[in-house]
Amino acid sequence: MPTPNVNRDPQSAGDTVSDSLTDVTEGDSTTDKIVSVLVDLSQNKLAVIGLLYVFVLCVVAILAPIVAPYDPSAQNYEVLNHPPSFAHPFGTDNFGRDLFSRVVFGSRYAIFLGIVIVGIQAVIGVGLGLVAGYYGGFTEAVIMRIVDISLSIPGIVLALAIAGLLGGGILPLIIAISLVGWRGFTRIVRGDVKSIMEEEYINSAKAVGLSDTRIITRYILPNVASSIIVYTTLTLPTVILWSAALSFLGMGVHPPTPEWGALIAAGRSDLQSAWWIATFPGLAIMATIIAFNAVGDGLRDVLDPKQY
Amino acid sequence: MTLLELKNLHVRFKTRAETVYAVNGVNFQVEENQVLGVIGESGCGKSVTALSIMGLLPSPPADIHQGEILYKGTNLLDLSEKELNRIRGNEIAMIYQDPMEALNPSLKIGFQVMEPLLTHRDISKADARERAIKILNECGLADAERIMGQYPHSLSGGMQQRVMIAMALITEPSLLIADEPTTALDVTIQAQIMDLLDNLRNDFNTSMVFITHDIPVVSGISDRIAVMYAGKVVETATVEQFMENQLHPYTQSLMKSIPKIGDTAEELPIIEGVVPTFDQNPKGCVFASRCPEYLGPECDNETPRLSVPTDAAQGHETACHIYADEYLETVSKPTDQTIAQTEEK
Repeated sequence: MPTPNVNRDPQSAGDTVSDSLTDVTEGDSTTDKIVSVLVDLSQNKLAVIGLLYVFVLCVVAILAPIVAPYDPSAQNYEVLNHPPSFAHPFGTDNFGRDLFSRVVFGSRYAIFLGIVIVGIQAVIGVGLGLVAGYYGGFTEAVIMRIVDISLSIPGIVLALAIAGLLGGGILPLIIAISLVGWRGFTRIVRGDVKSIMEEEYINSAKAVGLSDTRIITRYILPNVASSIIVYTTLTLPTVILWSAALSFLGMGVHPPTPEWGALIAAGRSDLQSAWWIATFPGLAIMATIIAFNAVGDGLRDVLDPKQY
Repeated sequence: MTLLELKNLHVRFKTRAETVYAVNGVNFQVEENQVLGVIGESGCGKSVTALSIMGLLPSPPADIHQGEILYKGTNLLDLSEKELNRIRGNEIAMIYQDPMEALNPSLKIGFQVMEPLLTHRDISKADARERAIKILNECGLADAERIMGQYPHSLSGGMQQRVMIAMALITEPSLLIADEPTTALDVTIQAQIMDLLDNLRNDFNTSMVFITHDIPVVSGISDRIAVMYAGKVVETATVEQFMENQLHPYTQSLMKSIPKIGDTAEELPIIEGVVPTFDQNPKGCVFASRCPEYLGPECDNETPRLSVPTDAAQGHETACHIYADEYLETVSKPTDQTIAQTEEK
């Protein structure tokens, strides 16, 4: 499926020199591509809302100290377990900390963990997928069997085990989820590489006398890019959910750090008396995941219309 | 001087289910500055032969189990992938049938045209760019500088094929292998591309192996013709000899089946039967089952050798038993010794 330019109708490709010159404008084509993808994406309302939310979330994460009305760890014994009010829109917890400020600071962890973990997964997974798909044979068999074996163990259990083994905390959390999630990238990339290898232009690149490394990085990788982008946006919410889940289960970020999963864990015991402590971080996680999924779905429709 | 020589080349494809013998003893030579036209119908092993010269057959399933491919005296089959990479795109270049598929859709034309030069020569990017623009111009693309920044999809098929040709010739290779370069193009564009190739090969002193199933197309550009059938060369001659007189029964039938302007016949003559596929090394003449001149058991059992019949012009070789009594000269036939050497391991 090497059609990164799907937004341009292949039929409109010029048949004569003059035709084709009106077709493509010169300039930085990478920005052109991004712009045209965004234009196509804007047709999808859900994706636009999702993208807006993601944008706002990023701004909030960066500007957390400005957005948050209170210090997230400042305790105020005057307002223990206060329900949502004007002064404290999300209420306060059993130490009198402002929950809104804590959720705002929690967005930093969600975004940071999401990007770092997906980044590590992508590097490992894409690399192995490219190698497996390109070389085939024994190399491929070994890599894909490792993937198959690891897929036979439920991911969250494996992540929990690894994080537990490493003792819990933010670094073990990153390592655990990274080690579990790369296999999806490997599967997708390896499949795409296999189909691209059948294309004549790979043969023609070989006929030029190029080395394997060059063919992989310059001829195959760009054609796999759209799948990788789509898969990345769809994996991000999963990773955010998983890191929250591990923290909730006590194998990730620990309270009093205002991580969303840890916030829920802390509010769980007070659910009957102070429902807002666990509910608002939960809603934040939910909204974030829905938003990323909406963006991912939209991107998939734009970048890869053949895959449903 | 002989640039490329194929000696008794055998290629088979092995899968778990079956083994198909695609090329069963191809012999031909390409001299310097010569264009060899290889003619044959679909599935006769033309492209497999071309790909084995480039070392591009995926192995497995492909298996070159006999024969030699001599380029300037070195057997390409003995070279490592690294050594081959020094020759591919540098000394031997290739043009493909469908330029739309042979150009990478996600890379700019400029990048792809410069690539062979940057790979094989110690040259700066600026110089390579200049050279690429020049060669695109020479290939008939007027607005080369602009085209350098475009992606393949914004060019027409004819323009894409010109880009492919520029890409192949940028390193000034001594041998160009063109695998049906005009098949995917309109007839008018075909003529333009053929003219271009004809001019360029004079400018660049490039030898060519021109593979096609279109006899009129190839006769315009070639010096010699080799006719392939079911994985074998059954006849080779200069273009003049070939157009004047065909020796092999297959070639004769083939020529009869080309429609000519002014023909009044209601139906074109056809060759009865189908091209055989082999699950073992074929015995006897590969055309025997369809041959109008079928002689008897010798056709089924004895493999005819490529040689010049008595009353044929010099250099006009064919592999057919009907000329057997008249064998005078035996050119380019593998001796028993070489056969023994290259016998299947």
